[in-house]
Amino acid sequence: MRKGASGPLLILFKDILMIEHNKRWILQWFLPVLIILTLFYLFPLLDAIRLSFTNARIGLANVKFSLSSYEAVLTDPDLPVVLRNTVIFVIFTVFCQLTLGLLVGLLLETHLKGMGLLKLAMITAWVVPGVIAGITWNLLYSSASWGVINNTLELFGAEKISFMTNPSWALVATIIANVWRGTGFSGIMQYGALRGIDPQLYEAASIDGAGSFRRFWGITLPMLKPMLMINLVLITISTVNTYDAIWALTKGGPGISTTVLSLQTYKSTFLRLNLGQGAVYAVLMILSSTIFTAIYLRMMKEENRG
Amino acid sequence: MKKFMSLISMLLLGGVLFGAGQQDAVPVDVDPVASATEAGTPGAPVQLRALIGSWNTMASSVESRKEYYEQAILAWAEEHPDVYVEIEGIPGGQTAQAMTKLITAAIAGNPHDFANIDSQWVGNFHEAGVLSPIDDYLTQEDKDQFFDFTKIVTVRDGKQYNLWAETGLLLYYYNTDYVKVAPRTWDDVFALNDTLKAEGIDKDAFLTQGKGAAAAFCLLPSYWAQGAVLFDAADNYRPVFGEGKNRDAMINSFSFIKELVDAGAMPSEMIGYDHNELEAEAKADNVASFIAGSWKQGGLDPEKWEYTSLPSMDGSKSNIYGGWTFGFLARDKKKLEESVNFVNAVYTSRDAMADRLPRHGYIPVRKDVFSAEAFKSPFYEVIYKELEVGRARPATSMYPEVESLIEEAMGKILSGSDVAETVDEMYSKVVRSYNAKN
Repeated sequence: MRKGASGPLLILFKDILMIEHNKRWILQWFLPVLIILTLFYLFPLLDAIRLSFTNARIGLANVKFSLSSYEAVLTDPDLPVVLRNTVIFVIFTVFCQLTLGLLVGLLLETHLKGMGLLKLAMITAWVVPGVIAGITWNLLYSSASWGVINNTLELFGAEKISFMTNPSWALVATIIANVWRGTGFSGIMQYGALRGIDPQLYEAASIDGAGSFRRFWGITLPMLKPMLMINLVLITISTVNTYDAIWALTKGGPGISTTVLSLQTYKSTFLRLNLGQGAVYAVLMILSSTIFTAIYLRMMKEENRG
Repeated sequence: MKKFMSLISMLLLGGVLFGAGQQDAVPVDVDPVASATEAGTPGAPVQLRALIGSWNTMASSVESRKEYYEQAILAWAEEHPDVYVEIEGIPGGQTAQAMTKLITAAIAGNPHDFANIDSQWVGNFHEAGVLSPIDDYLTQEDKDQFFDFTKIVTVRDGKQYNLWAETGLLLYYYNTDYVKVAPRTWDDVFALNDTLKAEGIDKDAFLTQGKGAAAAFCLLPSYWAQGAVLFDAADNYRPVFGEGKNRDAMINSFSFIKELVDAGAMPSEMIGYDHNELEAEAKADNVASFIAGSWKQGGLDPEKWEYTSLPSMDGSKSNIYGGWTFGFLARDKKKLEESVNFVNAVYTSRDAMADRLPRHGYIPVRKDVFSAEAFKSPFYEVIYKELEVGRARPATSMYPEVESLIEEAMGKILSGSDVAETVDEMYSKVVRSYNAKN
């Protein structure tokens, strides 16, 4: 048994020695992934940065290098509003998706009747395309005669809520729709991590007299932390990049009250045909995603040190 | 070795000559085809590539439209056995993506030979210099049949580059149970609101649209009716809507919307409404009058709903025209000629429009089409007059930016922003983009 198990390890060890012995093999193994990363990730990224330093528009043949796109975007009075919307949208969405995802994960762990259906519902919400999610929530929020929520409110004698036309409500409505869409992913991830926790730890804690809250605080949360951090990074990046659901729901309005950086990038590029300014917004998005990720990585490192 | 090389050379030469001979030959015993992706005789010497809205091809889900395209394509193919068209469809709702792809391919030198181009995108294609003039393949008599508004878009520097295929415009719809006389001026609209309120009729007096492109579509006729313009066509389409009387007209147009909301004639929810929402509100009997596309007329109860031209500040008439054109990108003369022939036969000739447009509910852009039986009705009498008073969206690449900013401005103004400041901010953004472009 010991001999059989050591066989593959021995081969792996020999392989590592081979790599050490002849480093050109490393390049060969990595070449396909390097080509894919360069073509589909690095090149578009560098091209977006190049475009941001031009006056490029869709259909403009003579593109000039200039700082005009940066000047236009950075002095735009709408930029602070768009950045504020982005921060609010990301923070609330991430917080709610993580918290509700954890609750869903814990609920699934209870193995109560109907949990299979809950899992299916969570996954369905996650796989629904953003545009469909936006349209669905539009039908729910609408103040028109078919708006489900407002008609229900009116049925009980309450006033209609201007979900889509009041700037504050519109942002709240957008966050709720996005939380609904992303909680499934977060819940499934955390459910997977919960299932990996050794039940003996809970048994030992119970024998020592720990209550449910103590067990959650002392065992579940620390064991979930690595997954929570990964979840945090993934949810943040996907939220920063969300534009399709918002576009279908509010088109970024009323005014620009639900326009976030990703949607502003889309609007500049495909509605106003201004590639240069769209690229500047894309660069801002890259910077914001990098900042969020760097903060989380630092938190993870400190956590590991602690 | 020498003999072997000679043999190879002869075979190659023979092959080339054979191939060349084959290229000019019209295929014998090959039946013409008509489908969503093909038109004409497969293997024909003139091979064309076309990009057409899938709703305007045999990919349409409506049987009567499919029937038309099949019969029109086969009739054209009988007369042009030497031409084959490979058709690529534009999926519904993907105009921006399709136009972007087309113009990028055209600049790179690999465009389709002809394409459906949204009328608001034609300016981009003009500015990119990728369209070919088609005057040699049209008669003056034919050109004169197109309404004047089309020429602002399809003609540049005296040359015609596009054929406008169909359009739609705006109408003012009113419920005769609540509106006895259609308002002609903005004052009349406010008076109607007062009357409804006095009579205790709890309906929105007047609804217009604020969602997406519909916001600009519904605002601009009231702006143009004041004699204002967005761009100076004589000065390289320089934006001028923030200057002098144009600025005043823009402020007036936005203020009218704001005052309607303030007066309770229209809910602020209008910024989430487009044509479909308004039609639904009308059918739910929540509204006394509204502005929507001409294509909505068929869906309203004719016993209750009448239609007329749009009310304006002082009663002057204006309208706005959307719709699609065909642009020609081929450089080869034969291909260009055959492209124009195909478009004329299937889409833009008098007979083609008279047969095709009623099946779609589109409005014709040729005057002679209105003498066809299908267009002899009181509805089309109104439409004909409307086609003479309005404007097409300006043929400049700056227009989409204005359109997008009008929608944003409407939301800002109804959320409490100052009208004049919002208009000035919008103008300075467009001017900055214009200066950067030039």
